[in-house]
Amino acid sequence: MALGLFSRNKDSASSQAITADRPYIPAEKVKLTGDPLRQALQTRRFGRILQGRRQWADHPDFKKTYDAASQALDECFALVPEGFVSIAMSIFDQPGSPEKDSETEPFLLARHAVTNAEYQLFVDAGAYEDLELWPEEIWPHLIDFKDGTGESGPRFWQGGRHHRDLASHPVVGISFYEAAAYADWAGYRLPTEVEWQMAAGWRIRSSAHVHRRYPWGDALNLNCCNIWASGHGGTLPVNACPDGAAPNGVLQLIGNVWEWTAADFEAVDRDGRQVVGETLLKVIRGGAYDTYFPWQAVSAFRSGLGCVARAHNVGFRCAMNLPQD
Amino acid sequence: MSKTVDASPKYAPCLICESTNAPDAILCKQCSAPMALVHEAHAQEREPRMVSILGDSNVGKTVYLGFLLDMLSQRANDFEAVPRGAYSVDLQQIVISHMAYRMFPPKTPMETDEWNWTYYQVCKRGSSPKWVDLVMPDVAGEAIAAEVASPSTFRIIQNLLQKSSGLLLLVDAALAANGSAQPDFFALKMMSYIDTMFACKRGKRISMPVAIVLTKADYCPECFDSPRRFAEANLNRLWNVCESRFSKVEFFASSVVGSLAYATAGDNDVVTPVPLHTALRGVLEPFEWMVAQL
Amino acid sequence: MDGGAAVTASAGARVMHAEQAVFTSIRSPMGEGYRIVAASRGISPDEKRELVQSAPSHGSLCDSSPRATGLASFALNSGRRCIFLSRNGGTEHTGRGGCRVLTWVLVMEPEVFRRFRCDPFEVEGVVLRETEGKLPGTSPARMEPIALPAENDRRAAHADQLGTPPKRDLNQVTHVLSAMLAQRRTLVVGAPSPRAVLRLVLSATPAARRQRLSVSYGLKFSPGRRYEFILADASPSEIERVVRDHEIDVIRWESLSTPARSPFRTWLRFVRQRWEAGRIGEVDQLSAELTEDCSPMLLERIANLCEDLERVPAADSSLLSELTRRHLKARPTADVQRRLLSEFHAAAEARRAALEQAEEAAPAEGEEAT
Repeated sequence: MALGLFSRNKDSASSQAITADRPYIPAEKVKLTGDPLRQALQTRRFGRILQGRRQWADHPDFKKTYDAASQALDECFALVPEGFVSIAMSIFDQPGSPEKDSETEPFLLARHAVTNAEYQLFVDAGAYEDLELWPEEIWPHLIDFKDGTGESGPRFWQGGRHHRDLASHPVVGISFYEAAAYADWAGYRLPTEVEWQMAAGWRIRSSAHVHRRYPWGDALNLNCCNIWASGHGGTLPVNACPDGAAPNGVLQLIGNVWEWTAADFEAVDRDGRQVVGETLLKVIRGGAYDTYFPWQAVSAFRSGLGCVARAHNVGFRCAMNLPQD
Repeated sequence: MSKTVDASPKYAPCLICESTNAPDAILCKQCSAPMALVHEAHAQEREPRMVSILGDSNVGKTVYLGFLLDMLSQRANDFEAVPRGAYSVDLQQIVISHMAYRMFPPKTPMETDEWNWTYYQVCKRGSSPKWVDLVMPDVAGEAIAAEVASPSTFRIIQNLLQKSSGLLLLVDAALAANGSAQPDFFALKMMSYIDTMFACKRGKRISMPVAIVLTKADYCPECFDSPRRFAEANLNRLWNVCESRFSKVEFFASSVVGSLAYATAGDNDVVTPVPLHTALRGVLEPFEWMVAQL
Repeated sequence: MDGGAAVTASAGARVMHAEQAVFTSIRSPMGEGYRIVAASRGISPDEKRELVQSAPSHGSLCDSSPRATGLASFALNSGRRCIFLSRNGGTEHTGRGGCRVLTWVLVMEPEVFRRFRCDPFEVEGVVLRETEGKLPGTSPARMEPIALPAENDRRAAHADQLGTPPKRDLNQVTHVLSAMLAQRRTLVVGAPSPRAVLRLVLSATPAARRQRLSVSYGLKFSPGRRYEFILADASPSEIERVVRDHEIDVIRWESLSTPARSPFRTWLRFVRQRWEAGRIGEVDQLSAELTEDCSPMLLERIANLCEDLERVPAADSSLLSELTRRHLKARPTADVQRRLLSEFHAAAEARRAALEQAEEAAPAEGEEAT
């Protein structure tokens, strides 16, 4: 009987696996207001609002909206202080392997990954049809950014809608360009790789030069993250595993889903040969619910994924520069 | 059904080819299967079931089996698995230690004494847990291909299949998705070989359970949406022979690599595939289905 | 010694042929992995099956360096002789670790093999010369049987290539030769230059034994390659397994000392002396002539004959009489024995005449002195 304590059970309630015996329940459509400024607030584009002082200065509700956006930003983002980061440039990260050292400036990082519900707002606002949000070289690929029924949207959605039960789960099945377009649309950006590692490793500039293996400390704790060994078998809501928060309250930097960063993946192998992909590789960090090796879900581990890949276990979170007041 | 094994043999017949060996032999002198299998079977006082994991060269048999065993060792999905003999752990150790360092394990040679054999006791815990002894060898794809092309070239393959309670046939989904017909032809030959071996009369189908595992499905994620649809579209010859001649077949998609890159010097140097990180999908499901059929 | 004698088979054709094939791992539209990627038409399906069963696959070379080589020579079930010439084929197309092995396969009739004195190294030398050192690549478009001219001068060139072993290794090499003559399955582990050792040992092994012998060097031991005589590296656990499972004698090079008492001791002593004196070619030639019998008694007689033949030119009357008496009633059973006896008697006769002449001249000189 005691053996039952050690089994790794799939928590099917939190899994993204929608099977034939679990019918797809699309999320309800949110009615968006017609006013652009209020719509920006409604769709959580707080960064856009803060950046749009001049654009909306004459709007009668601007001050109220601006204050609301600022407050929401405080709740949704956390400050990551200045720091120091060493990025391993070899895929075999061993003592003596080449590294790139960088200093980071303070910046704001979203406390959690972008959820299906948040991304739904992006889709419903017609962002996939707004070519301004997409680099020109990606325009021909926009026809591939469809869901399971051929509607614009993440790969695993249907009918342009996310599953109702996964509203608070991180959005997955989106390429690097979709993540970047959302961030731009919302008035944010993707974090750089060094920023991401700073947030997860918390290596503050000091004489100590200490960095953490995990946001919560140095010891692996399966209750603090969602990786394969945690046994959930799928994604969890973005506010799960609160004990795994970084010192500034940012959640799930390790586990649940890999996260796109803005950086190109550059690395060499043991013989100094370049490691490349079939397409441009962008850096992903953090590990996911199906990361089998715990050491691939640590703050310093880096991997890469094709920029147009729409994987089942890759999401993203947003970053922004400190507002210039 | 497990057969009872003579508890105290004066000689030691190989579990696979049944040829006689000295009691203290390490490998069978005929087929090079480890004699430790026989000793373990005697210790358990029952003959183990064999599950053959077959497929073409470079389809991913070693990696698949290595991860499967490692997952079972870690009690994934309510499974409990106990290795019988230290040799049973060699394969998963090789696979895990390589993949952890972002390398694929070395190629399995054709020499039969170089193959890794595993003997595990497996139980799926539930209302009435049942322990099953499983022998699952990691064989070289070229040996399988040679045996299928010219029967009796590697008799051990024949012996294995004859004694198998089930078969996991691995097929390269990435190659098939890329338009190559090679995976389909190999699988068709394999199934035809089995069909001939069992020599069922026309109209009667072979009842040995066969799990068709579509490997490297990370390359073609649509494979996960519906492995059956993928097989019907891209492996139509295999699909048809399964439908005609086998009564217990199921299709699965599987992958272990989350992202694949290549190390290259840019000239004529051979590119080395680099598994940047692991993301296991569909590794346990085929096995789970197989155990349920036994 | 007549170094120009041709092979003991009938002179016959001046050009012989061997079938050829390539066994390696490539990716092609028909498949990938280790298999026969090209073959001349004369290799039968059954022979191909045997080749596939035993040809070396991935990582089978004992040495993983880029210039590593291996060789195997054995009889197929069809009776034809097969020779594997293996080398490091670089990284496999899948890019996985371990060294790809590329094997050039030669298949020939027994009489063709005999024309090369049953020496696979001689065959190798000739094919490399005929192809100007161009080995088949990984996927030759088409293979035809390879033509092998049977010149007389190649043997001298071949013998010249056999180097004298260092003095410190002579014990071990002699021990290895003893094992080869004993016709027991043997695995030699730890030889510093397995290729050189095998070539030398083969050169001192009678052709009658060589034509039935299966040998290899540079290829890892495998039960699928049931060769009689193997030079390979092996770990202690592999050695234990080999000894236990396959009834093979294992000779560890480093722990060899004086050869155990052997029925071939006279021949071994003779060969060792010739090797120490750098007379490798002589032993090579003798061995090549021993095409019918390789019993300890015959080899002892051959060795004694050679040694006695050498003593004749400097023998005095009493020694000459003893030597002559020793071989007077000899009934030769092999052509080489006949030849040596004939040479012996001729030399003895010449020496006798010289001695008599000297005797006649000596009293005349004595009379002059007085």
